[in-house]
Amino acid sequence: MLWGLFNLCSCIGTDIVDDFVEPRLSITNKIEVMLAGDSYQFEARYFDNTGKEQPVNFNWLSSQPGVLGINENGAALALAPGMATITAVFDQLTESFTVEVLDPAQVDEDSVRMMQSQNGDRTAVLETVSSYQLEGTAILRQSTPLLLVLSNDFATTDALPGLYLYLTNNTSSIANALEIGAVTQFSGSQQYEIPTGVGLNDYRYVLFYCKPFRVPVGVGEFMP
Amino acid sequence: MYSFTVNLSEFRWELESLCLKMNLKKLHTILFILLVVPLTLAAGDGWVQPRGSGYFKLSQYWVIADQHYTNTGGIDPNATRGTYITSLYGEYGFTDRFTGVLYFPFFVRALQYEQVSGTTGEVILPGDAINSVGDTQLTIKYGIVQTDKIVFSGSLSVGLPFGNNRGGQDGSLQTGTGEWNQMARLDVSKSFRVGTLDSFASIYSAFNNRTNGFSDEFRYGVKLGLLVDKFSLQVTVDGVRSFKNGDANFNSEGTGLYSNNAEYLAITPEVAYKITDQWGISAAFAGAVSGKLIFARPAYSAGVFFTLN
Repeated sequence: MLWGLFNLCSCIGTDIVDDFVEPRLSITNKIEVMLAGDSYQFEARYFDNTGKEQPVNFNWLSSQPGVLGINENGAALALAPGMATITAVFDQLTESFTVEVLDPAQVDEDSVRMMQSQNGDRTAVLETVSSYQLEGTAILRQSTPLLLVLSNDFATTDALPGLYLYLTNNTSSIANALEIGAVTQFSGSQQYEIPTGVGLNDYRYVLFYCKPFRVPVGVGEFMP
Repeated sequence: MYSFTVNLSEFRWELESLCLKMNLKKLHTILFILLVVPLTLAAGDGWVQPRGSGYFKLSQYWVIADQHYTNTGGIDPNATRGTYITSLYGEYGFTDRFTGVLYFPFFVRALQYEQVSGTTGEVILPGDAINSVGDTQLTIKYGIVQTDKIVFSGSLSVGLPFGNNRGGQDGSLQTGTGEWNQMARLDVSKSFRVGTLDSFASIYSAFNNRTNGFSDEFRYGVKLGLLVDKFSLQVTVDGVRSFKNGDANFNSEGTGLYSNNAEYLAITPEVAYKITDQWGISAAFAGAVSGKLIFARPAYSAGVFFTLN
């Protein structure tokens, strides 16, 4: 009877995870310069209040349509030298950035092409969100394949039973996160290959997560 | 008024109930440790069973924890985990000096709660549970000094890894550690009177040799007990220090979260009531007041015991 009584009470319960994040709009392939006469397809993504990407239709606006025109699908055409601010809009969310349109007759075209292709690395300063040590720098490096690099200053603990790396847009949950792998080296430089198809700007954070106990351990926000 | 001899006899049943706790040690996954720790500590005291006498107990032990002590001694949250141990414990005096002890957790259930989004209500990660026999412990105890003034005993235990050390969907649920261990322990106890009440005090220390990459441990404890009519009240303070001579805990994934290199200082109040001369019931709770790599929630136990005289 005693045995039965207690085991009847041993049901699997429910933990509620506070996983709300502010919805976010992100233009994922920004460029700073264009040559007059060139076209470019801008792309944007919308992440809902759990950090999950949702397909939506954006409105695209140009502050100077005579300099840089853009249609409702984000296809832009550089018309004349000057500066223009491109804005993507969905619901109440916006993101803007400035593009300079150059006269191809007055600049080195190869240099501009190189500037356009150079999406700089994204860097995150790591900090613990737990009582476990976790510090250092993570770099999301533009390469083929994309690499997540932990710098020499990286340090954490080997006391956790299962520390895993994720790329995510929600640091409270791994529901829509990309699992990179288990951490097996607890200090110093190391790198992890990111699966093909993942873009440099697809994720906002690097997350260190104790998988068995399902809790965040440390996090870093990528900049820019 | 009881004679001194009678007093010792009265104490024995409660002291031996503590032995049950000792067995729990062996179970230590973190979950177990948490559980075990509090209850285990008191194990046995200095008394042994007289020849032909025994003590037997059916009990349930459980802990549900949503936070734990980290390796820095801080307290962090974790997804809620629970462990329920239904066990049989028995002591039997083969001679007036040698007592055999068996701890057999014949049904152990380990579970982890599901995680649900507070924003959408969707299940983020499903819950999980496993059921099995747990790690079992066999002990032989010898009464080195058994006088009316003081008792002193030594015991050797072997832990049998009958439990599941890698269960559940992600391999992180355990009903055992997967390692054999051997523990040597010394107990010293003394009975005395507090006013008109019988009481006793015990101290112990033990060395737990663990295998399979688990760190060895030093265990120690102090216990005070009081007999009030048919009630037995006792409080135990137990400590465990790891030698940290095993693997790093990350290697233990799936074999016992936080179970390796765990340390703690726990307090365990317990009350027992003798319904008849032979039958009684007991209840206890145990909580770590400080620790590293163990759950930071109390464990509870309740049981029915029988004494064979």
